[in-house]
Amino acid sequence: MITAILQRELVHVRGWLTMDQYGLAQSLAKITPGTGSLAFCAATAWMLRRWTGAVVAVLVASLPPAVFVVLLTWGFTAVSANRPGRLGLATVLASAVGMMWAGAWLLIRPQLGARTWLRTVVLATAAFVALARWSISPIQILVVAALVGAVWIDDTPHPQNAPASPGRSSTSRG
Amino acid sequence: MKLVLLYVLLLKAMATTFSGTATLPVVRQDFVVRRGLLTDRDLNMAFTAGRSGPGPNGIYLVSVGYLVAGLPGACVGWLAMVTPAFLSIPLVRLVGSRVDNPRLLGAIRASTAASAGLVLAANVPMARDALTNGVLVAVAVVSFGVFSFTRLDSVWVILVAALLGLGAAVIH
Repeated sequence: MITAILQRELVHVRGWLTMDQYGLAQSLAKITPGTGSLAFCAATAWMLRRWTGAVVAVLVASLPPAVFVVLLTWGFTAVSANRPGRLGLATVLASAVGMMWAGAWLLIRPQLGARTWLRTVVLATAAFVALARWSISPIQILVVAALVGAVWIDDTPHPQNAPASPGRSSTSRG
Repeated sequence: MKLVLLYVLLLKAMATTFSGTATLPVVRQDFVVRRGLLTDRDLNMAFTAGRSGPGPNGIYLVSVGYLVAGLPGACVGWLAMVTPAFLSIPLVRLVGSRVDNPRLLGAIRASTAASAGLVLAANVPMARDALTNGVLVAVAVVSFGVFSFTRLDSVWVILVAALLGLGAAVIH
C-alpha cells in the first residue's frame, strides 16, 4: 500500500524520482533483510535527501505505529486481568493464529507458479519438518534454503516486473 | 534482561529474514524456547498488537520488546526493526542495476519459501495454546480465510473477534 501511494506522489504527481529510480528502490527493498517497506522508504528518501532524508522517512514511517503498538500491548495486558477481557482476548488470539497461517500462505503464494511450485513446496515442507520435528535453528534452515535457492534457480520474471496477482499481497500493509 | 542483548536478539531476527512475519520463528526460538522470557501466549499477543494497527509487518517486535523490558524494551524493539532498513542505502550505491541477478533472487525466494514453513512450525505450539475449543478453531479458520482471500484490513478481523469474545462473556 505505502509503495503504491509513494509511487503516485513521488513519480507521477511531483516528479521527484524517475520510474527507474523508483523501480531500483523497490527491487532493493526486496533484497534488504527485515521489513521491505521501511527499506523502500529509506532508499527512496536517500535518493532525494541523502542520509537526512532516509532517517526522517524511516522515523515517520515507523514511530507513530510503534507508539500505537505499545499502547495496544499495554491495553491487551490490562484487559487480560478480568474475565470478560480474558474471553475477548482469547478470541483475538485465536484470530491471530489464523492470521499467522495467512501470513505463511501469503509468503509462498507468489511462488506457486507452474515452474516454481515444486521448489516452493519442497523448501516450505522441509523447513517445517526441520523446525517442528528436529528443532533445527531457524537461521540454519534459512541459510541452507538460500544456498539451495542459489543453485536451484527458476526463470520466472522478477516480482517487480511480474503481473500483479489478485487479492492481498504479502507486503500490502506496507 | 540487558537492553543490548535484547537489541542483538531482535536485530538477529530482522537481519536474517526478508519479511516482518518471517521473523516469528527466530523470535520464538530465542525468547520462548531458549530463554523463556515470553510464553507462546505473550508472543501471540505481541503479534496481534502488531497486526491491529497501521505500520510495517515487523512492528510486532516493538510489542515483544515492551513485554520483555517495558518502555525501554519497546524502544529497543523499534530500533531493531528500523536498523536493517538502512542497509538498502549502501545497496543502492553498490548493487545498483545488478539487482536482477538470478542466483541472488533465487536465494531470496527460496529463503522466503522456507520462512513460510518456519512460520507454520512456530505456530503449532501457539495454536495449541490459543485454540482450546471448537469456537476458537472456527475463529482462526475464518480469520485465515478473510486475511488470505479478501482485502479486508486485519484490524476489522481482530475487532470482530474481540466483540465475539466479549459477547460470549456477557452470555455466560
